[in-house]
Amino acid sequence: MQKNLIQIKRLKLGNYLYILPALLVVTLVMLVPLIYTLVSSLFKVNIYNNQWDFAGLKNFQSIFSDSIFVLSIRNTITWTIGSVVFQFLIGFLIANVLNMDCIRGKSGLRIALMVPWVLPGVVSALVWQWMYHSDFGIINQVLKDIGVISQSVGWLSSADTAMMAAIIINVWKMSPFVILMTEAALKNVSDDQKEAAVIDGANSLQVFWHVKLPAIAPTCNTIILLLTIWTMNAFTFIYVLTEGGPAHMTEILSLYIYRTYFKSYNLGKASAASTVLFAFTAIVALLYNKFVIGRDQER
Amino acid sequence: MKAKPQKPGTHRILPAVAGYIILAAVIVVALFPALWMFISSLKDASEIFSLPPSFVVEHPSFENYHRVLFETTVPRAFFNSLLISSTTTALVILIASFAAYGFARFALPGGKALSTSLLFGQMMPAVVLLVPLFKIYSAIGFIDTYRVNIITNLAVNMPMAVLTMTAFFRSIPEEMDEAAMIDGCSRIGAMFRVVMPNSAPGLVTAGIFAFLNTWEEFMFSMNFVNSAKYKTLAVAIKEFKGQFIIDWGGMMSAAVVISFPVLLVFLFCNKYFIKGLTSGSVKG
Repeated sequence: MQKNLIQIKRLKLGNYLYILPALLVVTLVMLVPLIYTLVSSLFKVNIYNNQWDFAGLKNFQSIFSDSIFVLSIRNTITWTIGSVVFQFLIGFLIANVLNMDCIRGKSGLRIALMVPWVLPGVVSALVWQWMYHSDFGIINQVLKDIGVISQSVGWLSSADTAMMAAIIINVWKMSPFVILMTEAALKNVSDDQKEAAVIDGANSLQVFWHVKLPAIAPTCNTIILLLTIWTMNAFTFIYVLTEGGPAHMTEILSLYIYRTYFKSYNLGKASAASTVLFAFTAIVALLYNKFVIGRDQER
Repeated sequence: MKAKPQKPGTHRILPAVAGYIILAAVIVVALFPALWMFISSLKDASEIFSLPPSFVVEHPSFENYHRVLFETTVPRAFFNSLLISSTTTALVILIASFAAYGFARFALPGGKALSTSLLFGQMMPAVVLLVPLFKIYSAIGFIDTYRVNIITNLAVNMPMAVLTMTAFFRSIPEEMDEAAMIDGCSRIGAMFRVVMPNSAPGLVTAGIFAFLNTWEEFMFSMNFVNSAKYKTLAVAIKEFKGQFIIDWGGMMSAAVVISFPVLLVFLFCNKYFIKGLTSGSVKG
């Protein structure tokens, strides 16, 4: 009874004032621009005299008939799948190694492993660019020394290798995140369950498959969905490394949007491409909502 | 946790050896770029372009650092980044505290939907905001100011800060607020004097993430600021790339200058990073 009374007393409009500033900031800087993008994707805009003419879906027709846009979608898919698969597999494997009972000094190892994730993105991109340098790069030197290649390769300037080179950096940067999250989940797997399985005669592979894996599967879903969203929307890395080149081979959707507005000054087309990227992100975010948030509420 | 009895025999040593070898190899790969950055920053102009590139610096020199500190815009940019990042962090903590308190303490109709939309805000592709923000900021004269970076980073970091802090505030029993209010505190007083100090780890976590995200933010800063007066570090470092020549030595020393505060914060506060990642912030 008294609890209800308290609830009613609290139902004051004034209480919304607490969340108002945060909502205002987010609305002005995120929601309004989003709506601006969605609306302007339907207009042909002359950015010099700011004349807006309704164009229906013409901007979308125009981007989908632009071969570079189609290429940028393909690049986004390659970049995202290539990055996320290896980020996850490598991170997952290392997390399981780090989680072994026989490994000592875990907190120190964890800190060392986290460094790539902590370094600022611009710094990482520039350092790797220097390491990839075709003449003075250490990577070419090491690969030549161990006999993998006989001549220096322009990793970032050749159309065949640029995307792979960029994905390698992205895997290097984000695997630590997977390690940390997976290892935290593995630590939470109950010892009782593991011991019960061992008493029942399970070997370590069976313990992994039947006890640990089901317990950490939800965390893995979270990790994969977050990595997908972050990778799909990445900008800094590829911009700093190649600006989308050579010959648009690393131009993912975010760079296409950037170039279409800031280099070609075509607002309508840039907004249409932004809408496409937003739609991709929304799909993954809805999956996240379904699998991750829905699951948390069930618990 | 109870200690497990160690079984004797080689089948326990072998996996440990294999595990250490794998981890050692991974750590070499993880740390090498940072190490190479540092090595390169100490090489003078003739050494950095010598073949083959060597791991050992023959004549360590600080001439790159000297150039970076006295002949470039990096010191100014360092100040700008520090100012923008600390202001943003302070505002994020203040505004997010109120919001988190609202979500944690009041049964707001629609509150659940609002906090879920914050979660989606956290996933918003930044590049989708880039063009419209540029148009809006141009129209209201925000381009080339400090406030353009502050307000943008404020918004971008707000969702995660609110979500993290809500989780922490919820874990503080409401009786503590009520006790403080009986003792004469206002509600806001109770928030500042009781709830916030008791959620210090949450504030620190949210603060560190806001600070470091702002410190390394690149895309908005590159497009919203043109003059050296307001440029941030992440953008200033690109100036070592000329049209034809790249000053790699200078760039690597500038990279060390940018990374140093980040690594320092990380080294001293790494448990907050881990807490921030594995608790409320990413799960909502």
